Amino acid sequence: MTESLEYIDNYFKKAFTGHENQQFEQRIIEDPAFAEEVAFYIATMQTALQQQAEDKKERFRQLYKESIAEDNVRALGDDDIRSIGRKDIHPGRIRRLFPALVAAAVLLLVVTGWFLIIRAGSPQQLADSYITGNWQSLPVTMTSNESPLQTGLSYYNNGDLPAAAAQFEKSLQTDSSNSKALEYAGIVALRLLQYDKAIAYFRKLEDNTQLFANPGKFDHALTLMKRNQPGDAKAAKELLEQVVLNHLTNKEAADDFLKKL
Amino acid sequence: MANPGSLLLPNDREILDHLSMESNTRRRGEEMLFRSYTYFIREGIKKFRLSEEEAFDAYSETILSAISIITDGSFQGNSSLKTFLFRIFQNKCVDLLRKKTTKRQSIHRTVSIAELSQQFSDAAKSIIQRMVDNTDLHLLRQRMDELGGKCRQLLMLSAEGYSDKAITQELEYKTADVVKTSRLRCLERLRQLYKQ
Repeated sequence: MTESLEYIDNYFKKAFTGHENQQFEQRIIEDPAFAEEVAFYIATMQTALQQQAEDKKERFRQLYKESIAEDNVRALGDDDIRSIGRKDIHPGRIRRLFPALVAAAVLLLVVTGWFLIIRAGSPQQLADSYITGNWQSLPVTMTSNESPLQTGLSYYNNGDLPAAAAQFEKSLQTDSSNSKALEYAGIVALRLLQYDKAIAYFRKLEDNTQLFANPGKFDHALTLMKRNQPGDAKAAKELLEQVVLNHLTNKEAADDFLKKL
Repeated sequence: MANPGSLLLPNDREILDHLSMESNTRRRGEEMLFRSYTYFIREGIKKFRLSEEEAFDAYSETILSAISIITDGSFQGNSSLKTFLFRIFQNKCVDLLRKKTTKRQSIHRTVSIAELSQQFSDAAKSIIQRMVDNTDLHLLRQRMDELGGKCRQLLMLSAEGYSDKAITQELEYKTADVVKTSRLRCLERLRQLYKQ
């Protein structure tokens, strides 16, 4: 059976010559069992593509939510934010700002409402909500040091996640136990939906018992919630319980998740 | 008439370069493309009186269609990406409005059977078409979900046109041969599950 599948696969991957292609077609006409296998192959590819499109659409939805949040901030504008802080605001300026402020407030309400809906949802939705709320940007230290870690953070905060991932991995090549590099590499892998990779980084981070604050276990749980495969929710719950019981980093958030899971 | 490609903007070229690659770079190109024209969604709400969700759907479908056209080499660069996308977007909005009235779902079909079997003779094509029509796609979808993450990813990337070599990097396999063997095993397992 696998031989037939390989033969069919070779045809669709265009590995055949003209004569072999003709033989393939002839077999479809003459051998109904073979034709059925070809039909199954095509139906599978069609279904897989449909799923791929749906996954992409979900990714786009996330990007769209992010862009709405960015627009909200941009609507206020740096100058306007500064002037709101001053006492000598000109009434005309307030009038000019008023429509933008109202629009920003409405958008903020919509986004907040959306997040509140998500908060009451599945493990995946809870994880999405946490990621959107906490990991849109990562803290950059004020240093002149242009280490891969700092460069990676800069890429991350500019939204270039693959480039950020490459820098964090570069940092780990120099020091494979660098806890910050492990944490950031895990976060960026999670945001790129590379769950196995993210889990591997967070596990390694968990194993470091020398850290005063170690978010490894919590981040591992979050990745399982986001991946949401069979058994993931249960495993995530167990990890979150350990975070709460042992007073580990992000205990409050873990406690909050446990109430909702 | 302008030369093909001369109407493209620098940002367009960067996006097209990314989309011409495989693996993470293509994904980045897809995201760049999506991010570049999200304001179309507002246009959809304003001009076509769609809800935000509907306009988002139309825009997502537009990006998916554009990615298919670009990656299969059909986009010639005879207009800027913005013009190219807006044309698709308008059609999607109109389709959506029409389909809303007939209550039909999903305006995007990623691939048709005709596309996959286009090289077949008419006789072979009609046999395959009949058999695919008889396939329970809903059940097939359920069975594919049961296969597990890795198998699903393998099949999805392969269906999208990724070579086994590109999948090797994407999913961290050792060699392209291992990818091919694993992919075919997944197909075989799916077949068995479907037949159960």
